[in-house]
Amino acid sequence: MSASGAHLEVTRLHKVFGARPVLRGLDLDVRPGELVAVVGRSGCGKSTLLRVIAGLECAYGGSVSMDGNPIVGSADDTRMIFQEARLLPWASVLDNVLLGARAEAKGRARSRERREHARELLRGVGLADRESDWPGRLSGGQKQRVALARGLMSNPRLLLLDEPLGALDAFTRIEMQQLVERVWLERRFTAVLVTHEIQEAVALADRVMVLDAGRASVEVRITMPRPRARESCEFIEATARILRHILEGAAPAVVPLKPGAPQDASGTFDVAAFGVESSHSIAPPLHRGVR
Amino acid sequence: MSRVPSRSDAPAEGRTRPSDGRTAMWVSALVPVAALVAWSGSTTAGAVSTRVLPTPQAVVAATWELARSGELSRHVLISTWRALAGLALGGSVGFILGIMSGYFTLASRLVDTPVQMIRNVPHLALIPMVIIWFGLGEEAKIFLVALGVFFPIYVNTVHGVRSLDDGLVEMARVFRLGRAELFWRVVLPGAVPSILVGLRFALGLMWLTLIVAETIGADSGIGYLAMTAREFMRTDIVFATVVLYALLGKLADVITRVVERRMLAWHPSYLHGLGASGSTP
Repeated sequence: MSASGAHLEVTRLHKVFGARPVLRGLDLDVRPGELVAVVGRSGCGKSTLLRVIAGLECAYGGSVSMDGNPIVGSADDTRMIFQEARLLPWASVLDNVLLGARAEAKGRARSRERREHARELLRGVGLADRESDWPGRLSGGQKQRVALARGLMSNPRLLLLDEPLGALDAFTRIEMQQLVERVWLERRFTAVLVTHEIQEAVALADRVMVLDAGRASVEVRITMPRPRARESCEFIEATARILRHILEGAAPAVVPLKPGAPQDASGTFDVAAFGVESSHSIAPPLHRGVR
Repeated sequence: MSRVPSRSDAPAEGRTRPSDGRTAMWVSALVPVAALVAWSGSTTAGAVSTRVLPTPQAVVAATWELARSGELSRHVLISTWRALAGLALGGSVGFILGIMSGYFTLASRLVDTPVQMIRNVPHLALIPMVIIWFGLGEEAKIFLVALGVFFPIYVNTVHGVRSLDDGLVEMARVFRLGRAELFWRVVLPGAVPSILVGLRFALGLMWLTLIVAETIGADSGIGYLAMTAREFMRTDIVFATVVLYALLGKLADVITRVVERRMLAWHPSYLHGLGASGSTP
């Protein structure tokens, strides 16, 4: 029913905030129907990359193109799911999903068809009975499912997911991962998932790209069959490998910023940065994997 | 969005049990009832001259007399008409300018700075000027009321539009909402809680302004009724008009609460007030 995924090409993308470079000549090629996860430390530019693709930020250099056509601004074939659900609190759940319809499909004509489609999507995310509720009545996970249904309303060919599960608790997150995977397998849109949770990336992606200081440092192809068992050796091994890449990439990220700094000073800074990162996002998944 | 006035009282109504509510009602009624008893006792016993303070019975009797003769409804109607005309005029100008000033940078530069400057002048200070411009006719009173309600509506509309969640605007961009759709579905509904706060302030100012305007120069209306009663030392009628103003003010407040409850049914303060199920996935 859905049009096939788009071919997304990001070429030599540069982005600067003030004097600070965020993306430094980033290349990313996502084949139609592929799900690519982008992981990296916070501040590595992964969210910025997604926002540039979505047209929410302008690129400073380089280009983003879909099926060979450069994208300027927000494309009609692209939809995004944010970390917060960003539902309109004053619109019912069903109206929120309907908001995702294509601009040209929003006329009076075929409004019944559209509602039917929205209801079907709500059924797909397990919220058929909540269509007339206010979003304020939903839990965080339910809100995010409505956001997913809204994102799918126009049958997008490219879906961008900006840490969409980051604010959810562990159980809800795993449920949502399964839902995202199921929906993606059904529809085969192209997807770019930004996440700080390596397990999530390994569970969902065809390919995991490690972003480091605005560049793609490593790509890891995940070939395990789906659905992927988190407790399998392969899964744990892939997670650990990606983690290692992220941690290794830390040193060159710090050095160019302080070219004249004495060796031991930059070393201290490095360790401090490592400590903060590991306590927040990187260490817990590994511990869970080992147990 | 954080300035919905009912935030504190709405949930309380939902959570208290009926018996608690009844007790609370009796307790809150204690002071007014005691005051009424003291008033009635001191005036009927002659401790206070009825010239200074009429007896409550006399106030009720005067109100009843006015109501029976049809005087009361005539004056109330004309006052209400003035109040509403002023509110409609000042409110709609305030709303439109507020939306524009909140939405467009150019409009904000043109309108907002001068309005913020004038806002510090008490609008009642303009009464002498208004009498020169409009004389003592209807226009003067409606103009004053309109001026009074303009500011709270304007200021709160601007605030409502500007405090819109940027995340929603970004979402609207990615979902390619048109300008009109962005306004009607995102900007305006987001500003409604703040606009309603403005409306409640405006209603208070509306009656206040009208009382002053009608006391100064009018040949009808509640303020006129009070002023003529004063000339004949009819303190009972003067008191009746005060009670009348209080009732009209309360009525306006009750109506806005009902409107608020309907329009802000989605708002967290009302959702939780109704005892949200708090379901989990």
